[in-house]
Amino acid sequence: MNKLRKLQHEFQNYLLGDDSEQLIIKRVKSTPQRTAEQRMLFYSNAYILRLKEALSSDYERLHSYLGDELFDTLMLQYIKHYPSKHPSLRYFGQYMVQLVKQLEPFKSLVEVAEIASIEQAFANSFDAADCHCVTQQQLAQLAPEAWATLSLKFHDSVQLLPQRYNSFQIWQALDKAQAPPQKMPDECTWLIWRHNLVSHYRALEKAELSALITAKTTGSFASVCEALLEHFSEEETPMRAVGYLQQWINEQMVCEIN
Amino acid sequence: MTRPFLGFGLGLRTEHYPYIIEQTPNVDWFEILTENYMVAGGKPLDYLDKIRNDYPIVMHGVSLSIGSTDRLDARYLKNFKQLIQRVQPEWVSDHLCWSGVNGTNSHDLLPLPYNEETIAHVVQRVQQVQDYLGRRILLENLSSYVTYKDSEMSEWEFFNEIARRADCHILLDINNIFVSAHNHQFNPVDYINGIDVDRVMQFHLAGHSYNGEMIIDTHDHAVCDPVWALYESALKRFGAVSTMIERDDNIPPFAQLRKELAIAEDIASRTLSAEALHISTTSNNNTELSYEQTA
Repeated sequence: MNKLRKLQHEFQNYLLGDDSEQLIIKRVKSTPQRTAEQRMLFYSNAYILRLKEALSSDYERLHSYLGDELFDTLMLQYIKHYPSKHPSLRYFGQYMVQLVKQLEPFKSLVEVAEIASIEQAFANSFDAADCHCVTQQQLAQLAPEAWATLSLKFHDSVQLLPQRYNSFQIWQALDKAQAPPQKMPDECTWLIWRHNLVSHYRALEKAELSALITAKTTGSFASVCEALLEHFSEEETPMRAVGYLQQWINEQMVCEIN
Repeated sequence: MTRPFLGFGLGLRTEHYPYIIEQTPNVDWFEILTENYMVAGGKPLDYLDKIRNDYPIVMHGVSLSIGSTDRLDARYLKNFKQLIQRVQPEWVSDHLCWSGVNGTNSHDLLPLPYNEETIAHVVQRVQQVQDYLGRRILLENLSSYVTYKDSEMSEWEFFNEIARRADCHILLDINNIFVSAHNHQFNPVDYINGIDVDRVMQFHLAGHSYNGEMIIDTHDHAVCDPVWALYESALKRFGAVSTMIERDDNIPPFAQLRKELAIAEDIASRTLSAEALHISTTSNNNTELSYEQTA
């Protein structure tokens, strides 16, 4: 290892708290103004502070829910377990859901992972890739025989969030700076997507959820119809399936039909 | 050398997007933070495209990590090049620093030891980047808080040598010179006088904070009087150089920042002849930053 690489390893180990011998300190000049230890502290403090700022900004509602002390513990654990591997701080906090699912006391609080996943989904929707959304006119121009093999592709911002608790209501209250409701079981899947550059969300009822999961995973409109047979009669199903497709197109969720 | 002169600019910050789009304020150009726009789509790029229609843009990055001993990040460079193609900036810059090793990013601008080994290392990497991008880059001096025992020369000697050998340009941060001069007890004017005139393409101005006996480069205050005085010294040495104010925290309303920028314009018009400013501005229309590949 050349000298520069060794220095960089020692410096980074110091920032990450992996340098029990503090080898980097021996490489830094002390002056009457400040010792080498004091000078290096500017870097270690700035490192933690900068990453905490990024997490606080990405998980503002989770911060409100947990309170300063617990959220601070969570941030320090996150910084320790997930050093940034990305050029942009935008993606630093992307493993938060994974961490809170593994780490006590958060692991026992199921709603914590759910709230974190809501915040992450909004961030992902915010800057997901742009696309030309399909219009109702394009749908109307489909030849009758095209429907049997019709395939769909969704905008990258379209995300489904299955929740076991009333975490979305908790998030909504926190978002309005109101006291959150008590945690209680409330199984529901939420849809988050971007429409005209703004993120939207709504709860899905079972039939639409089934249609949307099928549409997103298979891309096949015929499979959507098949899935809907579990919810509606044979007569009603095609009309319902077309109704959902029209709604998704109105909401700018569909970026390709073939 | 005819130096392109864009005039007086500001850092583009999200807080000011609506104002800039609605009011198209009188600012010569904006500097964007490269990594903020390395996203797939959505509002950031939408706003950027709209603002780009009305203003020249320069791109300023924080994650090139030109001094790291890791390999250059090919994915980052690819995204960087794609963004350059989208934005068509007047030029692109990053810092003379390293940010991490073993694939980790500290998201800080970490100092390098000023010696021959580092110069040789950084020079070949700058050349690699310039060859890949097909254009010269600007490197910026840091605010630093440590001096390594391995350093064998002054920061400005180190900076000049890299710029000469790599054939890149310099973004001179006047506030960073002031901060580092205080923290390392050198005369900031020696730094200004030590930098090669023809390499400097842009100035940064910013505010800072005191932390006991040290100064921290926080970009959360207005530019202070000693930094304005140093700016005047820099103008005397370098002539008309495109100048912008960086503000990253405690961000005031746009109009207030614009007033601060007017101080820079005023100092420049008092320090330089109208002719110098005019010639430089005019030259911008016809000057191409040509680049010849080195490998």
